[in-house]
This record gives sequence, C-alpha cells and structure tokens, in this order.
Amino acid sequence: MRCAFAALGFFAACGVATANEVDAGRAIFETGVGVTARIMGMDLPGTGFACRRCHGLDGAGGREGATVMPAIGWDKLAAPVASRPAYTPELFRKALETGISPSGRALDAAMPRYRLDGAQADALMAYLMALPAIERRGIEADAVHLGVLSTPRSQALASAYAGALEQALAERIPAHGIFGRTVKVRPVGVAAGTDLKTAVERSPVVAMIGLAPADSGLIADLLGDGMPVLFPFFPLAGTEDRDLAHGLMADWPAVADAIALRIKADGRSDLILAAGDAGDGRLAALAAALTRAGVSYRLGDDLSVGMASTVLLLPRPGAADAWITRLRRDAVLYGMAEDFVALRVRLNGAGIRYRLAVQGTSVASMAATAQLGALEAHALMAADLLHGLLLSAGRDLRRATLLAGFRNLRRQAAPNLLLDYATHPGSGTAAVEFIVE
Amino acid sequence: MIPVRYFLIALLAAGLGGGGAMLMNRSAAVETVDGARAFPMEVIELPDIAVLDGEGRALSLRKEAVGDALLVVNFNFTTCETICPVGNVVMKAIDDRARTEVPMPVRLLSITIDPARDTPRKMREAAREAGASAQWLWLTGAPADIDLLLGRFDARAADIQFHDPMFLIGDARSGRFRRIVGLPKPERVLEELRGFAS
Repeated sequence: MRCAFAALGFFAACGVATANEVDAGRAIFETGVGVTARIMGMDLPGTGFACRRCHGLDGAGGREGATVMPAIGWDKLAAPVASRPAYTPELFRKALETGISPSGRALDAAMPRYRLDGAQADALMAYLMALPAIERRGIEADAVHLGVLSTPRSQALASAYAGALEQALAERIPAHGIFGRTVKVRPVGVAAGTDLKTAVERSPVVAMIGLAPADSGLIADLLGDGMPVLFPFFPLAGTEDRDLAHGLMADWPAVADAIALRIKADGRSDLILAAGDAGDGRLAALAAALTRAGVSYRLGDDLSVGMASTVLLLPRPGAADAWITRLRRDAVLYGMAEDFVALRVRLNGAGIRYRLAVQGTSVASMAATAQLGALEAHALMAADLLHGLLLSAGRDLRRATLLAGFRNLRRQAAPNLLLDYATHPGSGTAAVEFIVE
Repeated sequence: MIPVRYFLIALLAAGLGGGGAMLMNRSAAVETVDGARAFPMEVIELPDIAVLDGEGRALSLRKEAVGDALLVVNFNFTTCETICPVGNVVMKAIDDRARTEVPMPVRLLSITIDPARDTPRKMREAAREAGASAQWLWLTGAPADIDLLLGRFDARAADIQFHDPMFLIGDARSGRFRRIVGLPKPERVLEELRGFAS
C-alpha cells in the first residue's frame, strides 16, 4: 500500500498516499459508502454501519454500556497494548474482514465484519493515519486558528466579518488566551481558479466561521473535507453532517414546517407550490412539510402561479420580480422574506397579500437589542458561542472536543431568544417569524 | 444445576414474588454465548398502560400491542447511531424468521428509551429503515408511562447514550421472560421462542 504519513513512523518503506486516497478513506470511515457490513451472518449496506458511528468523528472510541469501542486512529492501532499486539496492515484488514484481533480473539459482536477490497482497505488505513493531524488542523501549542472563507464573490463581507469576529473574540477572551492558546481569525482566501482544498490546506484552521451566502455552494466541499462549518450567514439545509455543521438560525426543514403550519392556520386552500429550482432540496422539503401538516397542494411552475388563490413560491434568485407579475390580484403569497421582501411595495401596490418567512431571527433579534448591524451582531453571537466551545473543549483541544461542546451548548442570545443546541443540534433554534401584509 | 423452574418456585415460595417485576439474582446461572449474557428466567408483569405505535394510535399495551403472542422486546432510540442499528439487525432477522420457525405468533416490540424526543413519526421512520414487518411494533408514549414500562423491564438507562443492548424474550400471559444482555445470535432467540411455544 502507499502510505502518506511517514512522520507517524509507520510504513516508512511505503510510498506516499495521495489526497484522493485519504479522501476515499474518509468516505468509508464517515459514511460506509461502497463497503458491505456483515452482521450475524447478514450482508448489509455499510452506510448504516460506518466506523464513525461507534468510534466517533475523531476515531477516539468510547463506551456504551458494557460495550467498549476502542480508539482506531492509526497511532493507537499501530501501538501494542496489554490486550493485543500492534496492528499491521495485514492484521488490520484481517480484523475488518473476520473480526479476529491481532491477539487472536474475536472482536465484540457489535463490531460488524466488513467486506472491502484492497484499495478500500488501503484508503481507510491512509485516513486513519491522517486522522490525528486532521483533528489538530489549525491548532498549535499556543494558538488556535479560526477561518473565514473569502472568495471573489464574498471578499467584502468576509473581510469585514473577519475583523468583526476578531474584535468580538478579543473582547471575551483574555490576552493570554484559553488554556494557553490565543484565538486568532485567519482569512482563508480562495482566488479565482484556485482549488478550495488547496487553499484550506495552505491556511490550516480548526473551523470555518460565518460562511457568506454567496459561498453557500461550497459548504458541501468543506464538510466533505472534514472541515467544520460554524454559523454560516445562511440557513442550513438540515441534511448536512450533524457533527460538523452548526448554524445560528432555523434550518430549512424547520422553516418548511413553519410555512406549512402557517398556511394551515390561515385556513388557505387552492394552493400551488412552485419552485424555480426543484433540485435544491427546498421544494421537496416544503412538499413533505405540507403533507405532514395535512395541507393539499398542486405543483406548479412560473407560468402557472396565476392559477390559484394561494401560492407558495421559491423563485430562483432574481426571478421573483417576474413571478409576481403573474399572480392573481386576490392571491395570498407565501414565501421567503429573502426572495420577496424587497418587492413589498410592488406587492402592496398590486393588492397582493403576503406572509414572508424570516430566518436569521436570532441575529436580527440580537442586532435590534444591541443596536448593531447584522454583521456585528452575528460576530458577537458567534464569538460568545465559540468562547463557550473553547472553554468546554478544555486543554485537549481537537476538532472533536471543540464540536462536542455543542451537545450541551445553551446561550441566551437575546432577551427572548435561547440558542439551545441540545434540543436543536443543527441550528440551536427552530424559531421562524413572518412578515405579514 | 437446579432447573430454572425450580429456582423460580423457590423464590416465589420465599415471598420474593408479588406484583411487578421480580428480578432474579443475575449473578447466578448466567449463560454467556458469543459475548451475550442470558439470565435465568424471570417474571415480569406488564403494566396496564397505553402506548403509541408508529401511526400515532394509542394501543393498550397488554391487550392490543401484546395480546396472546410471544414477545421479543428490545430498547432503542431513534437518534442512536451506535449499537441500536446492530440490535435492530438482530430484531430484523427474528422478524423475518419467526413466522416460519416458531409455531406460535410472535410480536416484536422496540420500545424507545427517549420518549421525550421519539415521536410516533420518528418511530415509524426508524421502523421503515429497519425493514420492520407489521408484527414488529415501534412504541413510544407519554414519558411517565414509558418510564413505568422501562422500570418493569428493568431497562431504565441513567444516560441513554450508554445503554446496553438488551432483549427480553417471553410470554406475557405467564409473565415469564428470558433476558439477554448483549447481542444474541438470532438462532439463540428463536430457540428460546420455540421453548416458550412448546
């Protein structure tokens, strides 16, 4: 096999694992994709039994009742312990396939046996070797680096936000830092034509904070690379990695439910649901929410929005103007404030009533309370939460220990707003408000 | 070794029976096979409570959820990603095989240990993912009722993240149950069911 991390002292004779090999190993570790799990003699898709589910995002393992899930970072596996000799690549693959550990004893019955080919086993080992370094990305003995992604599309916002976040952190965290580490904000610039992965590798950070709406399309790539994305300026889709992505505002499923329940409470019928881009997942989420709420609807498109007295519209960015010209004068429009709020004058002039859902309620609430701009309010809230996370991570700061803090993270972000990640792991809140006319 | 039924009679005679769960001394006569520990037979009286199935229907636990069928019970919660899915694989195998390999109707119950968060809809979705048949009910309910039920099964977890996989195989009419802690092979559970049926 080819091995990447000679610094770990393993496989010194091996070649160099490619980034692709580590990525392939990450996919197996985190999602179980492409492998088969064998449990009690039954072959099942590995996606239900990925390594990470029991051994943790960091591979550190743990305990559930009497079942011990051992640490499986390669630095741990390659070291002999009292209960077994060191794993070698051959013994590792044998353990995965047969459930026999290097000691010759059977692994716990809760550990599936896996079917994977040589390339997959090599990739998984390459990832397990890379994992300790991934866990400490952006973390030094005396500093921890938080990132703000800056692309040609988001440069102005990212630059202003990085400054605001650094200032907000400085107001909370003493000069000597937390557990001896100062907290620094590091802009991560992605120039036009530059690979995101390369840019992230050049500027190691423990998490990307405050991703701009213009860069929302990059969230999948960041998360896919194991990079935590915290407090983006846009709502999460609700389908992101539950450990790596955390927002500040109600995620899309919560918004969909709020809109569906609002339509039901308003007693509206004759509803058309239309979206400009059915592939972005929001249409499916809204359709599911309407069904859950017991609201009947028809699917429509931009040309059929005038065929109903109630319309729920998700136009493509910039297309809302054209859509509302086709609405009936007696229509009631449901949609997102971000799509239609700038068109309120026209809607009012046309006599069209509307109920527009507002996300980012928490940031808006804090901004109003503290009389700040939204950017500064967001930075203050993010700094407050990051401060709590860094404290709860303790001296052993790693990606996993930082993110573990979300399990018990509760903050009164504004007088009437509690961010509670124990109850709402993704976004801390399911609060959605409506602008009504 | 003293046959299990005599052990049970001896305890009953000693006045250790009575209503509710009567748990045997679990340190005695524990049989360990493939890492799963099977405990001596015990008597458990199911509480007269209502539970909610995956459709949100309120069912009488004794009359509707259980009835006259033999039982296989396990405990899980829908956000559990560690051992619960493996336990559900065992339940799925029993679900698939019990109809042809056990000469009596068998009802499988997966009872949430997180009733505050596990709504009937979440249980229904989890049942679908597990491939449950109509004979495998995924039950939630009012937290106080579920707590009472978990107490009768001695299956309360101080922290749901740290619960052991546990299966109870038995006959609610007689109240006799075999407890297996760990992950038993499906054959072991089916053998136990055939014992109850005979």
